[in-house]
Amino acid sequence: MTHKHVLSSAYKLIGIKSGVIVAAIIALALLPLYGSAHAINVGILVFSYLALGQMWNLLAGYSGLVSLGHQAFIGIGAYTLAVVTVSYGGGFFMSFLISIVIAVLFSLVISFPIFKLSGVYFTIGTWIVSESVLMFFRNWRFVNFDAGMNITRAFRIPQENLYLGALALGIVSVALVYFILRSKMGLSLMAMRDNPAAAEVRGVHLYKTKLICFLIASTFITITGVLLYMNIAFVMPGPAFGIDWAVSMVFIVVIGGIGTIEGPIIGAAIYVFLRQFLFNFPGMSLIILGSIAVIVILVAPKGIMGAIHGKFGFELFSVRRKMED
Amino acid sequence: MNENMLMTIENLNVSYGDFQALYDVSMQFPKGAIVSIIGANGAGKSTLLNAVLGINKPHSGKVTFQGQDITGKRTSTIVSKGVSLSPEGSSVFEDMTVYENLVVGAFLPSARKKKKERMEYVYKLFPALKEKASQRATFLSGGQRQMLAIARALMSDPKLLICDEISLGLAPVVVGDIYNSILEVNEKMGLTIVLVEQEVKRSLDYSDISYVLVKGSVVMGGPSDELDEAAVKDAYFGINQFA
Amino acid sequence: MKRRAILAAALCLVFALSLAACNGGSAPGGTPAGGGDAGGGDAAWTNGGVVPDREYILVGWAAPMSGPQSIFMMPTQWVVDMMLDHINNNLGGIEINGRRIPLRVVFADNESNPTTAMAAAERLVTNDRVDILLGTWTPVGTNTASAVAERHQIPTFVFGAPEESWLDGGPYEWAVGMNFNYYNLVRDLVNIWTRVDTNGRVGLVLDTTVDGTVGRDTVTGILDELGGFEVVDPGAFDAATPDFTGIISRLRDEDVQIIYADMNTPNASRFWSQLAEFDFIPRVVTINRGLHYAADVGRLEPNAVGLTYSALWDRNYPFSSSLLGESAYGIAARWEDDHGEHYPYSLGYDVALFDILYDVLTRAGTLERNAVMEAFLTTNIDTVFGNVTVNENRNMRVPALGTQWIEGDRWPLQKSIVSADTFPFVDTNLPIVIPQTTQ
Repeated sequence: MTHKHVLSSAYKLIGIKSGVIVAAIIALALLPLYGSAHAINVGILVFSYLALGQMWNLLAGYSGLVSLGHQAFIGIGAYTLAVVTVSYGGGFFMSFLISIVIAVLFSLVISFPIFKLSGVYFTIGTWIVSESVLMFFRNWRFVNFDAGMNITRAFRIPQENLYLGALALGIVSVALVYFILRSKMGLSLMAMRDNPAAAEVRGVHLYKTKLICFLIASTFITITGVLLYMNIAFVMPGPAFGIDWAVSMVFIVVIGGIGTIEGPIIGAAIYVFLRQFLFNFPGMSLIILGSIAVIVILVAPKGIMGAIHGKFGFELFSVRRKMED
Repeated sequence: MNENMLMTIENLNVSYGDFQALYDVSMQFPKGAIVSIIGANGAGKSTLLNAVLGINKPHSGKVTFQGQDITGKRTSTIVSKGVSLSPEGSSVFEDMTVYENLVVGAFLPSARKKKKERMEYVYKLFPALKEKASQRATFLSGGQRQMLAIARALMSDPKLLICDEISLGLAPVVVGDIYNSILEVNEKMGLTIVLVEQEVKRSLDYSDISYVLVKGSVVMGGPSDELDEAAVKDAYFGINQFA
Repeated sequence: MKRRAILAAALCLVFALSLAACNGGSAPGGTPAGGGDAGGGDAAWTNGGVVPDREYILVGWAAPMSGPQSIFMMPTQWVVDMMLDHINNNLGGIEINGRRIPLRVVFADNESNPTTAMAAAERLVTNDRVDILLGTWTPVGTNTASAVAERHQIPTFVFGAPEESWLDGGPYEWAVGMNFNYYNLVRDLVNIWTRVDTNGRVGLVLDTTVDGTVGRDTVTGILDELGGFEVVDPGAFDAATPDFTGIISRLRDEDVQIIYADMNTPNASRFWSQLAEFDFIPRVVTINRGLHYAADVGRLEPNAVGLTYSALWDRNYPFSSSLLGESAYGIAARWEDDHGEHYPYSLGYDVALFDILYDVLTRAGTLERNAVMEAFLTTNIDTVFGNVTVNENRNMRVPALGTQWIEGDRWPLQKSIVSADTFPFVDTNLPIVIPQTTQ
């Protein structure tokens, strides 16, 4: 029967897809052996931004939590790294662990007030939170106020190690979102995004589901913040807690395709390559990035991946549930 | 407590700020019965359902289900006890397939064990859904969407099925078919069913007990065959005219 | 479900291992200085220090071409064009490995933001594979470029930050600086006050930013050391919503005759006009930080004559560029001729940069990184800052002097150096102009 034929070719396709994914991961992991220093440098940025974008996608694309305040977590990661390594002479592993603890506690604390807000008020609420944290750090003598801290320990990290760390973060972020969506929670997320009222009367606990996503995304963004600043190596409150981070996350997700797993991958690559290109056009970067965002939103409102999926039905990571039998 | 009652609502009062939406509403839902709640737009039907399902909290009063007080409990708790709602306007998850909609229907742990069995049951009840199982719900016809909403509600193996405004915006023939399916569920499975409707005649015809809700109060109630259709319409429209 | 759990566990393992790898790459021991051997290793990720096969010398400059710090770049393009023309056309290039080859400069915009600054500097090193990296203006430019220098082991020259902030990231092995000393800067401002006849009562007007806070510590430290001054501190104000009325009436009530303020440009002009509104302009008004540019000072109401300020470079420095053989005064005059406005002080830094670059590359005679680095460290050259040498902190410390805005001959206002105790090379016996005082 054709039905069976379709099924078997679908399985074949799934086989090919996972083969391609595994091959791509191996090729990327071996990049330091054959890639140029520039390729590795760009790779660090692409995978760090992928992790950020994917987590923002989990928030905005799947949980309906449009946050413009998650730069607070990047800053927290950055300052955890700075304080642990500079003020206490700790290592990077310790920084990661402590940043996770702080991120979980902080997101729990702020979730009580800001989860009372919804829609655009939630968005503004998150922004206000991050601006308040920025103000706090600017006036905090322990972290040297506005003058910033040199993360001297990060100066001599070999680039390859940063690359592998970023690659791992990028892959884990994609896998994390994929597994969340395939899990029971993914089902409640999809139902919640589709029709919150109907989901609620099916027993989906909206608050709990959103809170879990918020915790996961905040924590992961904090970890990425630590890694980003192992690369940047110099932290100042303004840029660390700056809205620029949120803008880049929004850009990556919107360009790539919100609510798709592939979207942030495409978005992060485009964003980083554009930024590399724009170093030679001082003062133009915001104008050019902004115009590209506007054009993409007009031409393909669901982003590049949304358009591809709409036209060809292609998905690299399908989170659709197949009928069992 | 009456053993024969699956659910009772006693003196329920619900307010939104200064506005009181329900006044001392009391209703009884005997096991195995079909109960209809008739009311115009704004009569407080949705408020009542939301209060029963724990989505909004009553100001005072009590909802008892199988002898347990469920007033103000979490929605997920109430659903897992066996109350299931097919929401108004046949609201389905548009972007999800029919199959996925049904899976969400059996979302709670209490329901997941019986998922496969329930799936077969609803496919048998609504064969059209089986044909469209892998299609996205947004491509279904109005009648099929309504079937899906009911089927999804049946997925959690409820003891009480609440159907909010089945006939809204559907052709009479389609509505008749769906009503017949519901009768079948009631007869074969002994499932207690609540029909929340605007349409007086059909509600009285299909139900054992009816309540008429007007401006947040129960103005009439009793066995459906004892209620006079004209009197119900008078109550329903009469007060409505002054509203 | 089981398969999923195994996959998840495997991913976590990969993650943990990679992080451990990062950890392993840190400098051995607790002190950054312990990482000395890291510099010696043949690092594959920086192309093994192999000199690119090019017919020119490439200098990469990560600079604030946009953003709030872009004002420092006012003279840069003019200086680069002039200097490259002079080096490549008049001098025929720089002799490297026995052949004269041209010098080229490639820019990358750091957007006045450390995140971008880091990426910009890394791009210059890894993509453009520059021979020397430059990172400029404020710790955003200097400290990020210095971090890139250490990571990629590339000779790097940074300037335009307080020496103290830059050294906080050190000690460096691959970065050399040309930075001023903040303590000296404040010291020379205080020296001005000692030359004016006052009652010694100093009023502080400082905001809550780091400049304000560090400024308070520095100035009170110096005043304590000197003795004879009495500090009146009405407390810090918020830079975003300044309200000076309370502060000014307090200073007036306390009979303050010296004001030391540290604030940004908009606040500085607001403060200055509010002083006038209160009819309270003491004998010495020193406003640090916000009034670097003649254009800003020219807009002040009332007229800013007599206002004392610091200078990071001045055309009255009695020195010449060794490369151009032209005096500081002459170069500034030429810039003013070309642009029709008062020269910016960053001009001196940009000119000195090329004096140093030409000298270093000529002495190195090669683009091999260690040799270039060695040449940087043994610098001893005359510039528009005078003779510069590298101190034990790898810094070519350049002066920061006390100056005063006075009526100008060419422009409405010009600077006059009135205190140079920390670099006693210029005539500071110029009379100090007292502002149109009300005392």
